[in-house]
Amino acid sequence: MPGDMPSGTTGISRNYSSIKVISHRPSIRSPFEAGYVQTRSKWTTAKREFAISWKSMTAQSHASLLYFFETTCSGASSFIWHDPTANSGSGVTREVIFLDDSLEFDNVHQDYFSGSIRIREV
Amino acid sequence: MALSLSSAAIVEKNKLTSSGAWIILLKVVFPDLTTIRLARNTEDVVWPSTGGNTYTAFPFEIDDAQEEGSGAHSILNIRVGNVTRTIQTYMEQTGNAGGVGSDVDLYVVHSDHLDLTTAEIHETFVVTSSFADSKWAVFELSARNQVNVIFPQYRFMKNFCRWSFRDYGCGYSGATSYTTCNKTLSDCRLRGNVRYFGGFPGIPEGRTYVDTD
Repeated sequence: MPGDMPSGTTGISRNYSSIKVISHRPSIRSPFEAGYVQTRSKWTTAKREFAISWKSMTAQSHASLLYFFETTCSGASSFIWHDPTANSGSGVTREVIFLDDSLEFDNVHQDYFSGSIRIREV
Repeated sequence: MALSLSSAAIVEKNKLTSSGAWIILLKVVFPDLTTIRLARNTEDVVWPSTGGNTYTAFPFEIDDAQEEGSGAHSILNIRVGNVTRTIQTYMEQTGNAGGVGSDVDLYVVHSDHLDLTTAEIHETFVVTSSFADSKWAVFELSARNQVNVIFPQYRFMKNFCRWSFRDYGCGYSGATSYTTCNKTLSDCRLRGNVRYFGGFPGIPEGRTYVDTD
């Protein structure tokens, strides 16, 4: 069972500044000379991708996120993410992975960090 | 042979737009009879939907078929994701010979018609060679080589048993701790199993008799 991404008290999930939601649902399209396009789904379900950014993450949250990325899920394991963008409230969880091999955050205002991560449903 | 499609498939084929997807299913039966079922999709597929098998969503790619004019069998390469080395583990199991000799079935089904028990396309292959690296396990698929098929099926030999050790004809019960035999009468005597010996010691020396039925 994948572990949970740290959330709540450390503020990682709550104090974000923006989340970009991208839904991947590939289809196959065949344009015809007559002007119409024949389309069909490539897969049976969609996969969502999230780009979460912070402008002023606390140093404690940043350390917690780094530890989670480097040690707990080793950058490659899947984990459970509580989706705050879900319309139905806070109960929606998704099994996701980090899309990137590295995390880049800028240290701003001494004790705060700004940066973003990209995660995607497995 | 002409490809026949079900009426449901013809309707799906002719639709201008469709929410359903054509899904490729892969079944591999390794020489040790271990069977894996994979679906080239974003979620698991149960086919047929009633009482069928679960095909696990797993990355695999099918290359274009290669055909030659020289009479060689056409070849199809299939690449199965091996990042976790799971497939390689199956290939390296004792007796699996890297997957060579495995029977492979490719099915094409439609996600809106998983209740149909017959796949729209069903092709059968045998693995003729394979290799694996850190990303992919690659199986070269081809038709079974008829030259390698034993014919006639049964040959009558003086001092060579026709059964495989411990199979239904051998009948060795394992009373002694032997794990193999060299198929000779003397080896069979050592195992106390001579009553099931599959050779024909009564045949005169120097000849092989063939059952032509």
